[in-house]
Amino acid sequence: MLLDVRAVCIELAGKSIVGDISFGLRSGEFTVVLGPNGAGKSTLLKALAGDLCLTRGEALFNGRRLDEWRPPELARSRAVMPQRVEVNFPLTAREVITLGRPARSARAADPVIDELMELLDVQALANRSMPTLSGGEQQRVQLARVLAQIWGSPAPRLLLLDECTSALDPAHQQMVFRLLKELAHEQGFGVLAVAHDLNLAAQHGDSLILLRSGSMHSKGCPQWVLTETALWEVYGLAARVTHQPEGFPVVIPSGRTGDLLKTAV
Amino acid sequence: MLIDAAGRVSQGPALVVMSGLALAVALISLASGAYPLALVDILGLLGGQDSSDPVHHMVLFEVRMPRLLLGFLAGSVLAVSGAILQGLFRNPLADPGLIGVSAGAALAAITVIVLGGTVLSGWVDLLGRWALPLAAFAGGSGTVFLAWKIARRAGQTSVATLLLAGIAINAVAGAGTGLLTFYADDSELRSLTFWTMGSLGQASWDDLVVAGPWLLLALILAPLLARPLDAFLMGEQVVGHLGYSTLAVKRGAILIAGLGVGAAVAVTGLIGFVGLVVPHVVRQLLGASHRTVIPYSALAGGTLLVAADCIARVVVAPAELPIGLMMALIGGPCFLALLLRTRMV
Repeated sequence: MLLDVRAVCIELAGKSIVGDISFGLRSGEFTVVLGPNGAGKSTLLKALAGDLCLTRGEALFNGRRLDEWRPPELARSRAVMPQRVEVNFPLTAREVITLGRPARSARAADPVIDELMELLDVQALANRSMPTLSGGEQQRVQLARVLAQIWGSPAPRLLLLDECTSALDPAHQQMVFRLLKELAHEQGFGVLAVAHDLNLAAQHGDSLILLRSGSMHSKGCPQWVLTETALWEVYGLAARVTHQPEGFPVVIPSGRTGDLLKTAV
Repeated sequence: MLIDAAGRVSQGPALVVMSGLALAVALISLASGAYPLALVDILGLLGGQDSSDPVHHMVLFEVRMPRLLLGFLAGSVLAVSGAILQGLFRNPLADPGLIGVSAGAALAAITVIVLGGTVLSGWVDLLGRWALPLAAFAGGSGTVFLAWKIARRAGQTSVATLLLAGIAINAVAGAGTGLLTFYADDSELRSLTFWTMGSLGQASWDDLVVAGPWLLLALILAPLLARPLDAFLMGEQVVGHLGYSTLAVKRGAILIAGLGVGAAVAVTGLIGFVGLVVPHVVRQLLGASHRTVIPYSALAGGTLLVAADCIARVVVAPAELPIGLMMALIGGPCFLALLLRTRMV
């Protein structure tokens, strides 16, 4: 198991945010974590990224507890994309992506940078200053930096992504999720991504984790997890779930419980 | 090409122009003052030629040279400390002066001057000529640490809190300085004025021996922080994700800034604006990566301070303006102009 999360509890300021979550992530698996606002998705991811401490339980990466890894060693195997990264100083996009390659010489041209810029469609932005880029453009540049960090590293490789497509247009969302799936299936990355877009997750994720108020509601393949009952239970969302011939479910929301509009209409 | 693809001044030409400027300013600084020296004489003396006039030799090697070196080193260190603190706080306004570091260093130095004969005589006896610079150093690093602790709450560095903390620290240090001024006698008051306005007028080889190693150490160590400080521009968490020890980087940055500013304040007194204006201009011209900002700030900061010192001792010759005053006169309007011209973040 690449990532083994065992009975993890996380408390912040005495308040339990994540309670008793266990799951595993294999190499080559793309798992999407879903759940309503405040369900503990980001907190869980931050704990796995080392930003927060586990209150109880343990998380093993490649068989070793995460806190037992030496930071430089871990950085070559695990890359993290936080929910928001603001760059207020005039660094160029290329400089930001280069930051993902700390071990490499700064002077020599690094072909990986250009490869990643092409993969994420940011070549045209290479020399633009970060504060002048749009939110979506910045997000793609940050994603390139995150990928650069473990690009070409030997296995194990783990990607932790917190809403990495939240500012992207639908075409780029598809591009990024397709890329993540490829990285998992063809290069053996383990990918754990927090997202809100149910259909994007259903279309590309190998498995989904549905969180509700800090604990696991369900986990498994998209068809199994994304049911009308589950959506109602977790989000209070009334939705119709249809199944595509390609094999993934599609969620068509129709409203929310107690929705004022519904009574008005 | 003078402008590169990112719309910045290319590094090659920038290095040539700035080194040339530094050299020119250095020569002017050696030549100008109450006792003018001809350029030919300076070059001759530097070349090892014996001068017919021993006064020339004395003025050049005992007065102008240490002053030039000390001014350049102090300017470099102040600018580099500014660059480091701005990276650490992710805020271009985090000048050593604004967050109270200089005031803290000066307060410590003034405390030693005024109380050195009485309450602190043990400290002075123990450390001798090191008592003052070490106190300034401790005052400087202590204040950076304090500002950092106050500005950081729940994993976030709050910019507003940082600046407010700086105002509070400056106020307290100012009150302490005022109180000590109240108790100081006449001769102590004269050295106090030197501290609060800044001056290179007393610069001697002794000062260089005391402060030089610390200033050089800060300059040598600062580039090691360049890459992690670049990561800091994206937030503290990203620093950790990239495999750097956040704590070590923070401690290193605080130590270098405290060490550098403390040592600089110890021998030159309070000189503001270098740490604020220089890194800002360098970033606008050459980009924000610390691998560029740190070395070029060092070069530009040294040049600026030496240039300001030249002007300070020429405009009202044979008297001298305090250089801290001079820097504020130059730096204030420059900074305002920048503020109006570019969008401040």
